[in-house]
Amino acid sequence: MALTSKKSSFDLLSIPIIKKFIKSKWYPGIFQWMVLVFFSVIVFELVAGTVNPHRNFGTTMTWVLWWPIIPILFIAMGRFWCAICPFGKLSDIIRKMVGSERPMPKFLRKYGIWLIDLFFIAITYSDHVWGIVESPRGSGYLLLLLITMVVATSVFYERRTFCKTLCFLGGLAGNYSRSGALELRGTAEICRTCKTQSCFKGSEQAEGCPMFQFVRTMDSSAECNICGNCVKNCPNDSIKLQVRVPTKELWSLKNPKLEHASLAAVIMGIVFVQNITMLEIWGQILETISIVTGTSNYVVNFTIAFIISMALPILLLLGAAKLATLLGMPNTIKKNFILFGYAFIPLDLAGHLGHNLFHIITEGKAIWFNSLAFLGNEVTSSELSLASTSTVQMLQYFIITIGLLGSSYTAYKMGKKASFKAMMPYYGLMLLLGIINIYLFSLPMSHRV
Amino acid sequence: MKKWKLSLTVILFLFFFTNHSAALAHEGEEQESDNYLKDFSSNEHDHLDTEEEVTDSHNSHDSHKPEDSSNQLDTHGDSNYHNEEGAHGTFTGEETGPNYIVLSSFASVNAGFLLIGIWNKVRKRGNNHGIN
Repeated sequence: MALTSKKSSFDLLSIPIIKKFIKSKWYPGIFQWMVLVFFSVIVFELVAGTVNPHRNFGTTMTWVLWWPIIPILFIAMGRFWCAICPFGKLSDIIRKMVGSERPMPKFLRKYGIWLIDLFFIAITYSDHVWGIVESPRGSGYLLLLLITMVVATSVFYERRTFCKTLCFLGGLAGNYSRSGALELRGTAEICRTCKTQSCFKGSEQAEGCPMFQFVRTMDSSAECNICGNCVKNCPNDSIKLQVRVPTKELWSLKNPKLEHASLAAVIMGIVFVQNITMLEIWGQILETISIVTGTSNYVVNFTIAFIISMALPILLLLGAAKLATLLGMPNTIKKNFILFGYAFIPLDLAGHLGHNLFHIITEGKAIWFNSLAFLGNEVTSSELSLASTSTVQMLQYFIITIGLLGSSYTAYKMGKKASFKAMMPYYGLMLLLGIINIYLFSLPMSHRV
Repeated sequence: MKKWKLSLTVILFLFFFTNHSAALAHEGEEQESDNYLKDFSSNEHDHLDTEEEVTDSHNSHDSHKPEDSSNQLDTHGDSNYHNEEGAHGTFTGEETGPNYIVLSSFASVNAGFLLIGIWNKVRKRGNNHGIN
């Protein structure tokens, strides 16, 4: 049973005003409606506004503001974003109005997380081949495609089937929230004797957990949206919303899974792709690949670079797991690969954050300018940067160092009684990935808008 | 095959085969097909632009030119590429309105799903009344 122990961290629900707010009907509805209205404006701007990405309000809000903020939200508040996400709210509305509430199909239950991983990779690939981020129309159609998926799943299936098994952000959100600073858990002594199970089944107060979680057995924040439904439903006041040390959940994983560990490695590859394609050396890399392939076709050469970038972190992690096993690490290579794959999540987060920090800081004023332009006030300023590039660079190095420390410490805690010698391959790989990240951040980078 | 599965197949079929014009991400923007190296050459912030046609350094993945990389890149060092003001690429493409074919395709597919949902609700209600 994965519940809170007596010696627990600070419970936010012990603050009466927070508890009252979360139990009220205003939460999370008030945020959901605000986000949904804003999202509608963004979609409208993307599909009907200017095709100039530098001027499009939707492009700026989505890729310069929202995308960089997302990892910060996951660290600070777990999957709270998923509770207020417009796709989730849309799903709730459709289900209430015309939903059939069928059980989630077995296929999705079994392979959902793999589909999420695949969608995430596919969207990243599509972006580089068809330029989704840099094209307002492309971004708009992507959002419309996601809306269609939400509508389709919500019409047929119960709860938030889309969020749980298809949302491309779900895997990322789950992995990042594991190392987040917020966790929702039940109180062991109370949940053990509970007969109602209303956190899962729902009650008159609210519907059951939209993410199919049962608080009594929930041992991870990966699939908790902090929507507050269980807080509203629990008749025994068992739920606690605690602040914890970031990465703490990763230290003692009870049921590590291959798909999560693979995603952690793949995210590292995606961060590399995102960085490299915005660097000056990208041209040289493509030229080198074109010599091997004998074609100057961008799609062909990019596909090869993309496959290498995705495969490399997985192969390196596999190599480290094999070496660690040879050096005396208990368990099989596969088990070590899966377990220690999670240790790379803090470094993933740091890489993702570092990359996007560059965009939000050096293009930050575009948010303001395009917002003013959206409201009818054109601003005549050529400066977009909120801070000097050297400041951004220092911040990026700092974040990567924190991520490296977080990953190393997580690996150390996971290793438990393993010798330093057996842990060396993991520490070495983390150091290597950290250095590569720092090197990439030290190179000239192009802007997103 | 169950009715809803059949309806789903029909909707998906309609979605993929009724829309003859392909919806590309760079719709309405100029493409350069021969040169695949990214063009980093532009450095103008276009908030000042009043004309609709401008040059875009970001919009074409088929046009990457590393030799002109000095302006568009934001540097992290003291090299010649340094640009503290945050280069903001300009844009070469024609302003186009919304693609109503694509939008109506999305709308019709979503409306189709919603109609299935309504049909399911009505049928379920009818069944319940029948039982009662």
